[in-house]
Amino acid sequence: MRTVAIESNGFIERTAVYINGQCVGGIRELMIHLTENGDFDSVIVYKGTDGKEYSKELLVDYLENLPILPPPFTGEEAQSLNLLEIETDGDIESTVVFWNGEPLTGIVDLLIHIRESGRPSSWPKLLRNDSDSSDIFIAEITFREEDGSLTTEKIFG
Amino acid sequence: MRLQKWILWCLLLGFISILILDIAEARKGFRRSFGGRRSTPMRTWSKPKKISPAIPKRPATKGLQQPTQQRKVQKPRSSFGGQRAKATSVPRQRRIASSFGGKRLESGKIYRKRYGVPRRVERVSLPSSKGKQPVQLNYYGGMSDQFMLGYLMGSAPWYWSLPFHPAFYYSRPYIVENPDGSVEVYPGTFSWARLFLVLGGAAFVGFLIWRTIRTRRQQSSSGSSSFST
Repeated sequence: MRTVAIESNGFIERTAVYINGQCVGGIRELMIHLTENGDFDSVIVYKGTDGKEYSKELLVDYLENLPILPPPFTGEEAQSLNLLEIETDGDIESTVVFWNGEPLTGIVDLLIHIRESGRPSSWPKLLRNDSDSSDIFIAEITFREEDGSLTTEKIFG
Repeated sequence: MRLQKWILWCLLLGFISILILDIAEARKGFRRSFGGRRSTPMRTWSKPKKISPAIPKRPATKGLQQPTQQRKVQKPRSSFGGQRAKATSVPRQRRIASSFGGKRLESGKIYRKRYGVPRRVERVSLPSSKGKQPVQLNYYGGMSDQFMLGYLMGSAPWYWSLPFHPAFYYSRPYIVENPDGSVEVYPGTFSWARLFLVLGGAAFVGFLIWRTIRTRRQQSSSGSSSFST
């Protein structure tokens, strides 16, 4: 079983990713897309301890040379952050999502896409590619309510 | 965070309470015809005062149309409603101490017992409603002597109430009204409580600023995010 946790306030600068309880670093891009229909996509792009860039499936693959960081936030700082945890065995049927410690139910679609451009936002437009022009922080969960309607909520602020 | 908020609130309340007490003391010793509240004359000695024939009662200011002779006026049923009477009902005894706004002492011995004999004593006559009133100024050689004169002149600048000015840390001058009508004025005393309160508040503000700067520096460093390169 693998546990992936994201602690954030909605800004990349204050976002920490934990894998099996350990804070990891060097992440360039992280994408998780889970649906009740069985879609189970997760990608992590990171710069390993050997300087190479790796692209792996976050919830399934073995993450080699993944940099491990000390906990970046104190307990006091963590109080102002939200925590999303995903526990999974590799398939959607055994995946449980927690929000600030509380399990969520009725999830139809979960999408998390965080990417750091690696360049300051004031980078001149002529010198940056369209594909990585700016940071991306998308975190949405679509729920099925009791009356059958679907609601999409943005998480992490 | 809660402790910091609690400390900040305590300092703020302490500062406000000092200001309120200061204003209350100033108003207590400040009597004028306009504004304020109607009240009976205050006593500064334990025994009830007997009106001396040397200090006859006179009508109020000449700005108002006052009768030359004192007359009895029926006490109104209520101060509210009706119309304002042109003449005032009871003339009031004016005191020179109304321009000071200082603190009252029952006797000058209390002050001298604690702070000793003044280095210099100056006797002046200041105009009042009763004519020239003798005032004894007691100088003790400190900074509060200057503030005493400022209050005596009736002009205390607004910035004396700010913690940036030394006058903020001194109390108002002490006033003794003697039975013979003379007045003794003693300089204000230094308030350590105010000083420590201001220093504590400044230290707390400095601590908050330092903590904010440190937090921002930590955020700009590479340890605050998994996405830092």
